Amino acid sequence: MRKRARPLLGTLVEVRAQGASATAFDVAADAAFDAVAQVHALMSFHSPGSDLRRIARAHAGERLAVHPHTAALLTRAQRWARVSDGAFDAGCAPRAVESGWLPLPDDAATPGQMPFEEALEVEGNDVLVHAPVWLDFGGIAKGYAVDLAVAKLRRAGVHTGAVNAGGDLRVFGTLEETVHVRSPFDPSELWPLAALRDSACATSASGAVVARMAASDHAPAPCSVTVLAPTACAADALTKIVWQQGERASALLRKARARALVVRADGSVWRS
Amino acid sequence: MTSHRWLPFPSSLALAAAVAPVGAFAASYATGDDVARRTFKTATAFADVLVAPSPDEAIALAVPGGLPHGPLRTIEARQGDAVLGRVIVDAVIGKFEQIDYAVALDATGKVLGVEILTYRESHGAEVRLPAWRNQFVGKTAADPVKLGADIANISGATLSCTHITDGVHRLVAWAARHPIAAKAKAA
Repeated sequence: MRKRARPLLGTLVEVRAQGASATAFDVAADAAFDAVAQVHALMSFHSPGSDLRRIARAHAGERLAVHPHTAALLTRAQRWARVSDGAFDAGCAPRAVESGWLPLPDDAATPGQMPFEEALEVEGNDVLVHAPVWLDFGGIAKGYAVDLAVAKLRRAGVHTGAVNAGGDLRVFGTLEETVHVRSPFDPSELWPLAALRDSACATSASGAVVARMAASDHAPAPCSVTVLAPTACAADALTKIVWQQGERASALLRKARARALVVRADGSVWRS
Repeated sequence: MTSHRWLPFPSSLALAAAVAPVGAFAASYATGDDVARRTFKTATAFADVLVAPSPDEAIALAVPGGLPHGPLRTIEARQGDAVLGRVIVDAVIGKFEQIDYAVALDATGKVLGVEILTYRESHGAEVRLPAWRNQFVGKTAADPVKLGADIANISGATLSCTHITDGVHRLVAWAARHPIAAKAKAA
């Protein structure tokens, strides 16, 4: 197994391949890292030149040409928002700014109340702005970057391998990967959690990402959600939906060929 | 063909003793020489140069509040008489881990890339150190709620990227005061 890692997306991005020559792997891994870096640059809320910030600056009635990755990710985000009745919300950046998770952009238009899936319309690689929105793709951008890196590796001739961006993991080819979780009782211990083949895994836990989500109306609240799904982007989106909907997301999980594991605040575990 | 399944996991964390733990995560990705070869593909020779920083530099290079930095390992990439750039090898301590990394700089000091060399989760002896242990305050059997925060570290990587970014900034500042282009002319 050959592997390389770089600090990207605010985490460690690891690329692995089996059966590739050292030279072929180096070329493939470079392409994968470049793709991740590109997604990072396009989707960064911190960087004024990113597509996300260009959208945040746009006023109602504007049409913006965006990168195909931005259009693709926005389309996916809107699909997740619709199938989850808005539980998935990529228009949550104003709340994240309010809680201090994101910096206040000094050049943005004042965001409205319209849900992001209605306020923005994707037409090819154009975004029509019906009302100002501050997008924060958060984890699904990370998942999208992982999926894109896998596509780059495959295109470069790597048949079996894995990409892991700080826990958003996708394995492809004949490799079966065991995913571990850190023991709450002894941090030096890892527990085996799931086995993946040609599949992906993502986790949302009570921390920066999830704390900004609306509290669930169901008690006891989850403190972590792990989702296994065919793609890392879907796995990440579904963690946010399951976080809020719990067992009500069962049908959606089945439709997405996904499974969820929820650890609740009282220590109980639910899995689909 | 997509397939995924859960491995046996307790239905409540109160039953967690049923889970068989495995060892801590560690990975070795590359050596400084690998990074030098990858970055400077046209180089004809590489020279290992160990640089002892001055006492002031040793403090400037150190993690704030940490011990002064020891000698810096640099690998210069040469093509004939010209120096193409260099790779500097360093290490930082993250939240749960120690990370060895390498920064590749061109002859003008511009960063060409940052690559992780090794990553190892702290375990064993470190766990007994109070400072390290304090990061897990509250994560006891009586407080299983904290599992949530730790599941985020699933499959290993808990990298504290900011520590690497800070480290890179320190190395770049050091490199700016020690340009290799001038040395190449003198040689």
